[in-house]
Amino acid sequence: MPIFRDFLTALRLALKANFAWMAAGVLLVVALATLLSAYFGGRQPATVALDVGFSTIRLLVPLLIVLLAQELLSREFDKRYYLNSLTYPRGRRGLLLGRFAALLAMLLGLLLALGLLQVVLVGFIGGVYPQATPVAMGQPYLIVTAFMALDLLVLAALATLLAVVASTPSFVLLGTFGFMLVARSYGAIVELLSRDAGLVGNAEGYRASLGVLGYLLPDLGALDLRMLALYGQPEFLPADWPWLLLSNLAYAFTLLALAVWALQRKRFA
Amino acid sequence: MPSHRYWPLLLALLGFAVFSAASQWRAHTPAPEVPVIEGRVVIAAPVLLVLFGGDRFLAASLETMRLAATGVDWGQADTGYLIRAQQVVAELNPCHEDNYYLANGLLTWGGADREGTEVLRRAMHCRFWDELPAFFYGFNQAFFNKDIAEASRALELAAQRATGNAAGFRKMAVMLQAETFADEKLALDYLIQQRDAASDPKLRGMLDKRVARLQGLVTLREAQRRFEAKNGALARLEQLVEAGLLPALPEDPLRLGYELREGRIILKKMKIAGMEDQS
Repeated sequence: MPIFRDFLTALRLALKANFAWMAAGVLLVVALATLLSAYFGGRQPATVALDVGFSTIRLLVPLLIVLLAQELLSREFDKRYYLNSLTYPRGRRGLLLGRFAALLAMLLGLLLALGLLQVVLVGFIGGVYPQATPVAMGQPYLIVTAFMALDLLVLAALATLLAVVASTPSFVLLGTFGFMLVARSYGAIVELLSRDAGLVGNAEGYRASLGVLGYLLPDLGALDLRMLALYGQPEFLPADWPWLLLSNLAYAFTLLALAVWALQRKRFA
Repeated sequence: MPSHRYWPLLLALLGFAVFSAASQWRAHTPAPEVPVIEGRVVIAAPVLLVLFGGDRFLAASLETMRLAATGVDWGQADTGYLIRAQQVVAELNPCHEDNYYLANGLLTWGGADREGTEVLRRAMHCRFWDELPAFFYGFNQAFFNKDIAEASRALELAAQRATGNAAGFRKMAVMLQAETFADEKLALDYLIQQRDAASDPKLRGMLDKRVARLQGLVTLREAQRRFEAKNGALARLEQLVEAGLLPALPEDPLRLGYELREGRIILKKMKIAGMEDQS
């Protein structure tokens, strides 16, 4: 099982790079953001706390993904560790897939810990002030988290591809965050421009050209189904969710396949 | 030539001298006229979305926190700012409960009823299970807009969503259609109820002023009824004082005042540039 051995090596590398401390930092920031924002929600403290908690997770975990991709892949090529790790009987594909699997495993573990933390904190806040519309922390919360994990999977696949093709590690950070910003916001901007036409001249043309992005980038903003958990109404699940799931999974798969292809053809100096 | 070694250092010193001299001169030139700032900055919804990393919920939550925490300084609501900020939040996340609740309390009862009602309309469509925004919207349509058809439609919606008070909403819709209804008294009752339910002392103080304003309207309309029973139609508000029905015109704590329009005393609306009442 060469992939499994790479998987274990990657886990050890990540632990050596203080992954545990970074994860603890993310947990701490999310806990603080959740608790403090509850004070600002006059009639719905639990909803606001959950809302801000989701947003914090969606901003901080991509940063962790980038750091891990830099640690597990960019560093390997930068420091010429490949002289050792890519010696003859071991394939390049195994190295990449093993490390990607390790990245994914750490991500899911972190999401699990974050989920437990949110359930406890939001349950506590909800107990202090009973709301007219309570939050739904059961199955709807699981659905929201699953779609968030899919969003993070796409970003992790992109970070892997960039770590393989880019010549400097900082491009992984810039590329992943730039992609995240565009892919998460263009769908909502198209929708807002159709209502708020006064913002730019020729809003229709602007909207059409932004809509072209839909053929190139996945609509990560549509993966944000948090209204399901915030307001506890099952009607907020969009009718096209199987297609949303399929398109994003296919996109992540494409990026990963491209990364494997790029690594097979990479010429080490 | 050992002094050659110091040239770069000398050049650096020279550069720094020029830099500090230029900054000094710059500091001495008189500052340009600062344009008068009219109202606070509210960023348009699509731009705000990008600034918050493509996360419309975070943008809406933080904007609401900002307007709730800073929009009501010195016990006086900054209505011009709140109008714009609350509409931006209503575009980003129309389901936000704090936003529509504050909009109803601060905007509709603070002289900007049309803008507050617009926020409520969006909340009513987004929160398809919640009876409160539909009730507020319907009530405002009847009280401010005199659009009884729209009001009864919204109240019927509220009745369908209601868990405990469906009969009350339906009864109100019927009473509205019969036009037998002293709306200012009902408004006063429900605003007092809202004030007493408020836990935040600041919000309570603000609602208190709106209650006082509405109480003034009730007093004026009662005096008008007594005046018109004896003397015929009222032409000016001051006639009430001259006829001895009131010791003085009631004072409005929001300093907007009351006016007589088409034979009916109403709350004076806020004048917003470019949005003058066309009716």
